Amino acid sequence: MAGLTQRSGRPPFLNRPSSFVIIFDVTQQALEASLRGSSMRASALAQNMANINTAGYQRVDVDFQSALNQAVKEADAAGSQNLNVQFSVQPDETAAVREDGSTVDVDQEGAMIAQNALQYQGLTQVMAARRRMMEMTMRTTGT
Amino acid sequence: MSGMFNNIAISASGLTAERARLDVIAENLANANTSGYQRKAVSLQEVPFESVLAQAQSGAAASNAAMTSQGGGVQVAAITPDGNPGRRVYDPDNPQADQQGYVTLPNVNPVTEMTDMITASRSYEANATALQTAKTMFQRTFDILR
Repeated sequence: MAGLTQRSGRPPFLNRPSSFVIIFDVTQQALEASLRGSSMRASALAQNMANINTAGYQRVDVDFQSALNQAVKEADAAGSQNLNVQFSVQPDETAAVREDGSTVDVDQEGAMIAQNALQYQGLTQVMAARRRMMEMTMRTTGT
Repeated sequence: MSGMFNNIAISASGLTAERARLDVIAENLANANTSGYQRKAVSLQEVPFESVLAQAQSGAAASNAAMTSQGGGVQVAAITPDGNPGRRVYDPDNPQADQQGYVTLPNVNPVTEMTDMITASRSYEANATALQTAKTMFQRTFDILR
């Protein structure tokens, strides 16, 4: 699991500060960051779709997966339980240019919007599953 | 608008822009035979993601609050009259005819207008679909609590 670097002979969870709450581990933080990134990407893709007929428009995108991957690697290397990741909307320089100077392809954007929405749905389902697991644990340990 | 609902606002701006195009096309078609009318054309303009792009450029450390994108979308930049000369039609009975009996009609080409109309209509659909997807996405957020 991300961030659970073993530093001594003890199992990794014993190396955590005692005040640390397990639901806010790196996996949870990564899930939250992914949701944020996916939401931001949805805005960027909506922006491209809205500007489908704007001549000379340059499409924008959010590469949240790379940023997140990098952040998880860094947290892992530092043995940190805190994920520090920022996303930003960047102009996409690589897309093919249309006759009117725009770089939007309606089919590509549509596919990306659908893909991003499915990814978001998957993330929310994983989060819901984790939440249910926590609830199950609390029921087991409760009176 | 910021955060989740920014997405919906952006798609809504796309819907508004395409509707404006459709309105102008309708006006052009309606006035295809109106002497003295000038064909109009819509030009669209991007509304950039201001804060996010500015922040990325200045390299300022973005807080979580600033992570949400601001602005974005599309707007009608201008509705400009088409400067091309109109069609000259021989119609001496028309009260607006000149001394040679010709009336100047706008250079509205129904074929051009119809193809533009299809483009605007399809783009409207594309934005409506994007809006629908955004709505579904946000509904999924509530599934976390279910």
